[in-house]
Amino acid sequence: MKKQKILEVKNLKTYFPLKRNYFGQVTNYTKAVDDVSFDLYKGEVLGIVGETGSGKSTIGRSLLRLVEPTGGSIFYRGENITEMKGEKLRKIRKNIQMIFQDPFASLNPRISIGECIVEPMKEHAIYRKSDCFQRALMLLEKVGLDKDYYIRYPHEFSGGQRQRVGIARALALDPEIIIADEAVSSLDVSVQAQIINLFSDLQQELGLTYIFIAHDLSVVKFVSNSIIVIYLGEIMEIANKEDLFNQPLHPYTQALISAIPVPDPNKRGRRIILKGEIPSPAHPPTGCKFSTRCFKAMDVCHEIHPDLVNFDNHQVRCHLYQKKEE
Amino acid sequence: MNKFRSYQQGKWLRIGQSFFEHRLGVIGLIGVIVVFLIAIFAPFIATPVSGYGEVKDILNSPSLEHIFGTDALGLDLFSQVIWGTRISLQVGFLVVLIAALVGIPIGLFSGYYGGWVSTLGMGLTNVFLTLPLLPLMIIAAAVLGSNINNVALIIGLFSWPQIARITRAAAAEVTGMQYIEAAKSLGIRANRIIFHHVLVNASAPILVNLTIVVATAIISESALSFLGLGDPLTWSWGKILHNAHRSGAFISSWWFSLFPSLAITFFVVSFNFLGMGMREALNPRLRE
Amino acid sequence: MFKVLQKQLIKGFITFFIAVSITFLILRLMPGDPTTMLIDPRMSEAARQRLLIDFGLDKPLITQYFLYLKQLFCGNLGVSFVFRTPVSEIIRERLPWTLALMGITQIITMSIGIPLGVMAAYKRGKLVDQIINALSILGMSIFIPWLGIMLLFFFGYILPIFPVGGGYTPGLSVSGWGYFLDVGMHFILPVLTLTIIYLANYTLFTRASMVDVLNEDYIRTARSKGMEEKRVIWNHGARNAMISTVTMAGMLFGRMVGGAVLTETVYAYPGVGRMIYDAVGQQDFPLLQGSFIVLALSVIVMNIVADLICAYLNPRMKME
Repeated sequence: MKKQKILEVKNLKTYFPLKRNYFGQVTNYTKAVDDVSFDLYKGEVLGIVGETGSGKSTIGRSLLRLVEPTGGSIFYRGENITEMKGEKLRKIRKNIQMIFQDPFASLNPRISIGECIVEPMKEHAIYRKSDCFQRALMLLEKVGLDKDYYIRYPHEFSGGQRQRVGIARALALDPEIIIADEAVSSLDVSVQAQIINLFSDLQQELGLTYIFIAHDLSVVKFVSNSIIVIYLGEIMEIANKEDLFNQPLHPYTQALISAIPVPDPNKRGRRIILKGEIPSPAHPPTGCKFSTRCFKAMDVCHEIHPDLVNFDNHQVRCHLYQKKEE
Repeated sequence: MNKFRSYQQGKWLRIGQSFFEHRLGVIGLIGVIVVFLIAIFAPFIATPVSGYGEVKDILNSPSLEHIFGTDALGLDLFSQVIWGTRISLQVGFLVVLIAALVGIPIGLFSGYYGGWVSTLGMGLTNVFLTLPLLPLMIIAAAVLGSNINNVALIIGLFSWPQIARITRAAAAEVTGMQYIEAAKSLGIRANRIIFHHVLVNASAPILVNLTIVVATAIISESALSFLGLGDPLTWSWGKILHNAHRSGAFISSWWFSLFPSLAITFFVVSFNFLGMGMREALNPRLRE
Repeated sequence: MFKVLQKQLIKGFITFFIAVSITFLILRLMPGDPTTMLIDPRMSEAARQRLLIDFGLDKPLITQYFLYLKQLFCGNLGVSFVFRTPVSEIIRERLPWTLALMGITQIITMSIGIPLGVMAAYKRGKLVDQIINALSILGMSIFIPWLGIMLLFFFGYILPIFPVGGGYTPGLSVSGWGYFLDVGMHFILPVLTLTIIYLANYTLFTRASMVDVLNEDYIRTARSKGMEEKRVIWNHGARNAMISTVTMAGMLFGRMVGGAVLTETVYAYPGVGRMIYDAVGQQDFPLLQGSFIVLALSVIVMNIVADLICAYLNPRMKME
């Protein structure tokens, strides 16, 4: 089955200015996203995993142009959406939607949940007015909420229910890609499972493509086909799920995997604990950004910045694997 | 589909309760209601005065016939004060309308877009807030002529900065919320986001300030009328005081100046108290 | 510090520029014959024609604008219709009176208003606070002319302590200390009038910003560290509220001008405010325009001073 590439991200950079001198020129940047490239295929789920401050959320926002990328390009079905403006950009928004992390903050407290699902449909004028309402009811059902909840307001719902509303809203425009930015991180574990199952069901039913951003590898493991591991705005490793878990190459990935709780005491490996804390993205370490915490760091790691190397669709950025490029 | 707000009521009930806990706010509300009632029922309370009164009636102290006494033309002061309520409300309403129409959009755009829009908007606002406004209003009124609506227009044009400033602050805070980001990601047009999502959520402090603007509007109008710039045909409280001053009987006929001044104070205090009560009730942090 | 001064000067200049331009616009763009604004209709035809050319009123608006600006920066504020003397001279004579009135009021207002506001904020919700609150709003809402005249009535007529208006006793020939005292006596009631109103205003505002500050986390932290309450309020709380308070003092000065106009009118006080009242009555537009410009300038200078003080107080800004 030939896979269709619907999103191509090339050398995405998103820097935030940190200091300005008297003339307004920027002197230092926070490199939230530093040269990230990946492809997204139709129907797959790409997981992006990293700790807080790694820049993973910024990637999602940059893709949607909620935050303006500083460099690089993003191609959606061949069209360069990095430079789009105005009406064109607005129209493209239909196809890529986001589900936000905080279920309490991502819904306007003053409008009913039904209205907030209908609003985007009306804005883009893709459905007839009468159909919008019907569609909203249908979406409510699809995400597991009672149709009667249409008139209720966000404060009347629990976190999990609000997240469902967020999903229904994201689906309103019939998008092709959905970016879930830590969509389950604020929820209780039991609710997390429900929502993740919902994601799965919806994907199968509607043929959606996901980018699933999270800090919890176990969550990502369940839903994803491919996984990107991010650290300080850089890709440390990309691979499909099986390869990543069977053969994690990057020390960081190994540490993350070792941290996943395993129920069976016999199957537990030794937990790798990383020393130190994640450095500030404004002052990354020289050489490999992970070198200050890496348990396998060599001298060269502190000096030279490693490139991303490809081993048959398994990419890794680590001096341990710098071989003669094929 | 009917949207019934019964579930909304829970929130308003709490706000209402909080409001009534605050003594000053309640007093203000009562005062404002009294003002409105007087204005509406003016014809039933006192007959309007015009022209000249009887010579025998000039500058009479309060009596059963003339509860507030009479003025220098022999006209009943009680009636003048009662009917002055209508003028005050008219001016207050017009001023608020203009201040809102100019100030709210400027504040919203400044708060939402930030950057140069905000610098421009707030720069302009700060200029007006720094400058002495009464002299400016005096010049404008002297030039534009003294029609009550012109006066209201002038006062309104110098009142918008107050509204713009508070609107910008509220708008900026709301703009930082995630649901605004969500609205952007859904491709909702900027104008709709600003005037629907942002405005609705920022409305509380704006309403508080609009209430206070009514109070300051009357202070300004009274001052302008007192200085002789008011509408000669409509007798606002300030105008009555102007007549009092001009007649030279300001002190000897104490009733001439006392009652209109009390009316002004009552009006202003009521709206101020109401605004303060609203502010305390609508501020979630202080409600702890 | 120097950077701050620069910024403030630029801001002040722009403000002044806008103020001046607005005045220009109001006087030139109104309906009717613009010449009546600047040329006394009572003048002879020949004199009028001459002034017409002088003022460039026969030239396009833009040219008039630049002419106006040029005259302004040469200190030429026009000639008064009524007094037939240059406006700048008239104002120069009367400005010190107004500035003295406003300045003293400002000092008293700040000296009493800040402690009062801080105390009210500290005892928020309790009786003391409610009283201060209510009194402040009441004070703010009193009609200034009425207050002025009432004070005049009580302390000038009934209890003849103070003189009934004016800035000084005309015809009195004393100098030095005697003159000072005489002026002082005339000074007290107007200052009292203004102070009552603006003290109320200022107290209310100080209280509000103090309430906001006291709600901040760092206050709670200071308290939990076991710091003496007084120190918490003054060193941490008031210090930080001081910035918005001083800024507000600057703005209050601008609003005080309005109050000064009314007060001076009532007391026949020989300041710029009273002059505005007279000028309005006599349609003396050059005088009106000049008064506003001078007052605006004074207020702008005061605001710059206030901002500089803020910059000095603000530890964050000091480090830049």
